[in-house]
Amino acid sequence: MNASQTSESTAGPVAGGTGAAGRTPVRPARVTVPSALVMTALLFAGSALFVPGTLATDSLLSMAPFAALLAVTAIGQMLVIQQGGLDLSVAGVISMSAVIVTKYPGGADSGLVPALLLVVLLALAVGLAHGYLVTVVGVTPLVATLGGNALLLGGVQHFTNGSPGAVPAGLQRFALAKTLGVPNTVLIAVSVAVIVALVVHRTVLGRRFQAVGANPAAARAAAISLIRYGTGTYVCAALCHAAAGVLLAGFIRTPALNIGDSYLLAGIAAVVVGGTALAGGRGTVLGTVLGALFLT
Amino acid sequence: MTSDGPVNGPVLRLTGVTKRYPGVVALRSAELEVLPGEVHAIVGENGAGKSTLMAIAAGSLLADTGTVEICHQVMRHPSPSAAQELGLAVVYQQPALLPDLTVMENLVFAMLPAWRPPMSRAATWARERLDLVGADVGLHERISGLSVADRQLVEIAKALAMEPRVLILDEPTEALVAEDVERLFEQVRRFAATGTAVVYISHRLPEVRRIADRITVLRDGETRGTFNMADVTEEDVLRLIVGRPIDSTFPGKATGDGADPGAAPVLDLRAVSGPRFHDIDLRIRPGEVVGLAGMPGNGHHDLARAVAGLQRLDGEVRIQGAPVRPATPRRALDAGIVYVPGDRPREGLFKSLSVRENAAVLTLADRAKAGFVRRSQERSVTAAQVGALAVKTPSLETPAGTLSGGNQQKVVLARSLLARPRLLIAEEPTQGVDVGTRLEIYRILRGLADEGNAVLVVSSDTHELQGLCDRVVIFSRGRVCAELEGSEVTEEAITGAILKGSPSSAAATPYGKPVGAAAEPETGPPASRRSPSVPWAKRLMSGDHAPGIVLAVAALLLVAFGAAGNDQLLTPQNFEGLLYTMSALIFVSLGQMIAVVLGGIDLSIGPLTGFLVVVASFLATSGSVAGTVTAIAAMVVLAALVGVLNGSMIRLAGMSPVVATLVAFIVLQGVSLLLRPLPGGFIHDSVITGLHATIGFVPWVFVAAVVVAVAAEWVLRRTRWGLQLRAVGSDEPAAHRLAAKVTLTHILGYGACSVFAALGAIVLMGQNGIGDATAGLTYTFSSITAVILAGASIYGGRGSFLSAALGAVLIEVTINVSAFLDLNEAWRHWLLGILTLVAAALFCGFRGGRLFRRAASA
Repeated sequence: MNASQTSESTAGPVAGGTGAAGRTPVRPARVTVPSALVMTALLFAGSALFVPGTLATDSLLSMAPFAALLAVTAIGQMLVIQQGGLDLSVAGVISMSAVIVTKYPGGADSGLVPALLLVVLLALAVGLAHGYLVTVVGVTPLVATLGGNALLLGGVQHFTNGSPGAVPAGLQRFALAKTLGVPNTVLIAVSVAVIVALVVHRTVLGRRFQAVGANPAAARAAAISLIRYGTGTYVCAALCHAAAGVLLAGFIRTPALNIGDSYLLAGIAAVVVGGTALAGGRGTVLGTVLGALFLT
Repeated sequence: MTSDGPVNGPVLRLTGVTKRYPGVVALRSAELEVLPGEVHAIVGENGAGKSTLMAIAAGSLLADTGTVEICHQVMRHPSPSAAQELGLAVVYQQPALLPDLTVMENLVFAMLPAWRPPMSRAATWARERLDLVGADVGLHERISGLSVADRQLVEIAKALAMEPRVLILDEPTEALVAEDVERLFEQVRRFAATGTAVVYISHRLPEVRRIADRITVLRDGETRGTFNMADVTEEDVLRLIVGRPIDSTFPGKATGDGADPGAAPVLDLRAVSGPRFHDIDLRIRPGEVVGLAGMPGNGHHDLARAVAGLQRLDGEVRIQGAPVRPATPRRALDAGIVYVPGDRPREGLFKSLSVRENAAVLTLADRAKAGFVRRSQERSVTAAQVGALAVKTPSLETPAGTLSGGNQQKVVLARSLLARPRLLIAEEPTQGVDVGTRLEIYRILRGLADEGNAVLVVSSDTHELQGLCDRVVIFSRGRVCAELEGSEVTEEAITGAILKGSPSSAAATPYGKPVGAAAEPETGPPASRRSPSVPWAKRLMSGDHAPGIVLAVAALLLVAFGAAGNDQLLTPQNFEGLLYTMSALIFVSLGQMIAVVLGGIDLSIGPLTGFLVVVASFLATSGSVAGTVTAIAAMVVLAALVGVLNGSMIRLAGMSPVVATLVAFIVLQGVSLLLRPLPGGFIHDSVITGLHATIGFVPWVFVAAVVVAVAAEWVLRRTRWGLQLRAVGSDEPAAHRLAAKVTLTHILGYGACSVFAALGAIVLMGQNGIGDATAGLTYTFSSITAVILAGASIYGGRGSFLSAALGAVLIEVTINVSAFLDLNEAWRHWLLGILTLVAAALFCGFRGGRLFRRAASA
């Protein structure tokens, strides 16, 4: 496993720079695409064709919003993968967020804002817990988020007693509306993508984040706090999944309890198709978004 | 060459060996002749071709032209095992040892069939091999717990076990301290005296001078001659190595003229203590280069790291008179303390990031506006610094990992200099750096001091300390035992002080720190030569079987607790059902355990189980014997196919296990849904009844599951297959060097993993009685939980099938008991989640987080 990881991560920075580094004049063209990524992309594409149920296929009309939601959660996943982890709590966070915006307001618009605040709090709590387990306790990301996911799914069962509810009309209107002819969901996805891309590639914060992903021990020696950046990653990821969950609930109005289930695999697929090496290291937001589009 | 008798002729002869890589000639008609009974040194700069030459001799690399003769036989089909069979053994600088296996298992695993002892005699055999080299280590200690010196000895014992005529030692002293070097030299002289030819590769000329009879110099891929050691001086050799006369190896030392004697010391430590050092007072004046020396584990490395903010430190620290509390690397950096890590691949370099990004990482905020990095400024600043240090790199955007060792170190130095250090702490600044670049690095360090800064060098190279340092402080047992200044700073004096500082009894001497401790130097007392005594709980929890005991106790307690709450729990009917359900998860968890021992994971195992039941729901509906047999055969064959495909995707297409098995997950789930969009296809009653048959109230499938688990455990512990599985999972590159069939092991391993899933599916088929595409999904999570509960290392190499089975037992008992206690669906999720997290956190706590393992192995 070590050997394949190493080869992947050294050959990894393929798609690097397609997005934010466009203005860099001296950047050498990186055209070599590791066969692993191509293979993966092909296989994922193939399997997506095989399985109508895994990905959203309700109708062509609804494709753009679904792609947008997938992109939002995939960006969260990308951040975790870039840190060498994997977030398996996607389904739990999406479903739980959807449950909060359906159950808490009880369909009334007035309850929407507190419900959204609750969702944010949930995402913060989930992200902090995962971050703590991974960076301080040292639990493998896969295991920490798998356990977290189980707790969240238990929460979904507990709060709904198995019966789904409906979101307030306001949220539904927002999720379905268009601004200047563009669906709001798409606008949100684009904003999230732009912000994350800018932060990751252009800011001090983002560059340190990349350093942690590339070599955590070296990052620590270079005065970067692993706990802070690691935990921040899981918090951002949980926020992305929660945002997707809220919008998805608004879009569908009466979301099923297992609404998040299909987004875990599709999200990882989008990241991989988008060219982020699963061994950690570099990743591009644009690639991930394109991956999401491609998959939907 | 002169003699023609086979006894006296060279036992290793390389003739006209040329090796080209794209764009580079690594070796050009290299010649080498090694005589029996001699110690033959090979010296040269990094990149001179030493490693290539040895790899060709050892059969692990194929030469373009030229021949290799070992014991007068030409190696016609070069391979590591061919070279070994002809009588050549190599002790690599990075020992090819498997960290998760025991000393004995490592020795046994490395043997070619002709030398392999039977498992029953392995212990005595291994003890003899170890005694031969004076290695005082426990047979059942894991390699990961040994000190570097002990690992080296185990590696040598391994090489000698195959009674080589030629023994190659590749930089054997790089990780050793003076005393261990002496012991090694004694052994080397002994082998040579018995007629073994020893090839000694090193760049430490003083050592070479002491041990070698003859010396061959390599430069730029060409052999520059072989000499009798007695006939040449060190300067002669150095000139041949570098290819130009060397005026002065080291830059001049501080004259003290420019320094203001009244100026505050740059670094002022007063009575500082930490985990491995006590009451240290140390002052470094502006312009001074001070060295710290001592045997590893005596606290000098820890002091340096603590001042850099990487370890705990109590006491008073002043930088230029101002009190500083370097509690974190960030605080230390802000105070002007910059640290150059000793372990460059692990802590120094971001291999995948570019030279520019590496150089800029410490000072990103200096060139930022509102949090955004100014790119043009960053480029010009890093380009200037990289240029000033003459880093040889194609461009600023080249990934730093592709540069040579010396240039990598210069990149790290460029980063450090950009941070304008007041105090630079450099640990082993020239380790793995060629001679030419060494000199440049010495000049850089001296130059920094000449500007009025302070430099603290921690080094195990006494030659370097003598040449570079104005003052050397020697540590012993966490305290300063000597301080040498000015003309006192000589190699002899430093070595003497190091040896004198330590108690004379070797057994009581801190003797190299285990590498595990080097990764987390914050914890624990100074590592002792023997495996340190650990708390019983920790020892228990870090064993392979221990988690199983805990799981069994937990399951029993749960049953007792549940029985107290509901008397229906302890009925035979409930137990029969519970044991039956349990059997399916036991089988699947055994499969998952294989993937995890291999260092991977199988996410597709759940959908596969479901898919196989769907398949059965088409074939096992008639109740005829033929139909049932066909169904079961189809399930096993399809499962094996899926497993082999998983393994192939991972090995042959280079996909990570997560991705590969995720693909399989999606495809299998899709196919299941296509075949059975809705549950349907009833398994014939006779099949179900057959599966549910019992012995007393115990279903026979449960008995089968237990028997299979015990058998699997036996295979894992006591057979070569099991050894190979763990070896590959523990350290794949090392396993490969040991001629393990890595790819085959992976493919067969995943195949076996899926076949276990098929066994689980057969049980599930009797439980559900109907083809349901979603029936198996939960098994992915449950089986991973079982394996985590079993304490398997998710990084591979460790695990126990018995514990995995007990993990499955605990999960099913938990679910069963919660049902009897009227806990709802939510509680099932919660209990599983809590079990997983608590188990994972506990094992991390007991074993020490392996958070940095990924970085360490990269």
